[in-house]
Amino acid sequence: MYYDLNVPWSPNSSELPRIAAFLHELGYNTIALSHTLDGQIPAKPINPIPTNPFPSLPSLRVLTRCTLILDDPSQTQKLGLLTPIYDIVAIRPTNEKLLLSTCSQMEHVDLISLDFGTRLPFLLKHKVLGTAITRGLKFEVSYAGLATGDVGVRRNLIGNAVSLVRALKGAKGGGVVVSSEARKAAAVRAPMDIVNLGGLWGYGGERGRMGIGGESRAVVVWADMRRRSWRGVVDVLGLGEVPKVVEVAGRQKEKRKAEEEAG
Amino acid sequence: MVRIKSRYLLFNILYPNTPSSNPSDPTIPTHLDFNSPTDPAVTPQLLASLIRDAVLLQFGDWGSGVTSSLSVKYFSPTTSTGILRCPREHHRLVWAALTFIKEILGKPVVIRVVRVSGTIKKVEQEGIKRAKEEIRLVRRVCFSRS
Repeated sequence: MYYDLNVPWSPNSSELPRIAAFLHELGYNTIALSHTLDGQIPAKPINPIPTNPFPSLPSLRVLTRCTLILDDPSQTQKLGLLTPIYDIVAIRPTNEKLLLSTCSQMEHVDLISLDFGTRLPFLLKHKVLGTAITRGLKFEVSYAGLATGDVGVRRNLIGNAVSLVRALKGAKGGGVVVSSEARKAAAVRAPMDIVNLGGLWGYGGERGRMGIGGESRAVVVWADMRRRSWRGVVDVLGLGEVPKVVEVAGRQKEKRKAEEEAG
Repeated sequence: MVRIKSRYLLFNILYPNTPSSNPSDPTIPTHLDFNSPTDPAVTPQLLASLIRDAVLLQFGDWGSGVTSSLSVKYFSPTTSTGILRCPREHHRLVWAALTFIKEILGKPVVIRVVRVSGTIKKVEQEGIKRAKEEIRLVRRVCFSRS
């Protein structure tokens, strides 16, 4: 199972079906269309992403995601409003103080995404990032800049990715999710190619495969649990119907099957 | 200790910007659109020089020095599939350089490595298996359209 949790969505994106088709071609099973929110969250937020955007790709699971660019502490007050509307809520903090509060205290967050294409105004320290991992939050690296960005963007991306991996080195379970943030189909890369790049950045072997597989799956599952279950502990699986008892084994079962097929 | 060990990489060249030939949904290109044939001007020699340039660009003189034995053993423009040979220690480096390649002869491409093996035989077998699958898909499309 391969996941790409960051495919930017905009209302007039004509490239989007092509990007989704290409992701599907390369082997990705689940993608998340990301709607970027800047500034204050509106009082009644609406998810503009349509429910079944790619009917010709039925085996591709499409989730909706919101990426909130956080530059003001007052934006966090209405964060809870986004939870029922989007499948995944991602935060992009822009300064050190907000990064610290996102990692240690902020509720209603599923993923922390930083813009690695630019020179970050803060250092990535284990002390800060480690608290996020223990709380179950993961960090996202978006690789579109490698294909579409210029030299500066590529250098920053690689440098920041290496710093992130180094800062998360002691943390249990990796904690890095890799996604594309591709605005054009040509920026997308196949899953194993991304795993190989991870190997060059210090994220080798099984941990690399987790970046597009296991860790991403954890984000999706936990986001779902946050919405469906009570505090991640109790979840209702059915509506309480009494299951049909199919008794008996062997001959009788075959007889019944034969009867069912005939009648 | 004496024998030089290599890695063979089987790679596909994909064309993400091919116009869709899908009659039912023109916005969504099909598998065959993405795997369209390459320009016949792309020879194994040209591809090898392109890849060496990519290694030089990404990994500098050191990169190009350690991968001096890089060669493209096979390339078929029809299936856009090729086999590359590189030193075992640095095959990840070459693989990364392939991932960074953006375009060939002006057309935007995405190179995808499908198989890595220590022997060329296994890589060839995988190539043949995939080619057979492609032929089967092309046949199916042709028969469904005629």
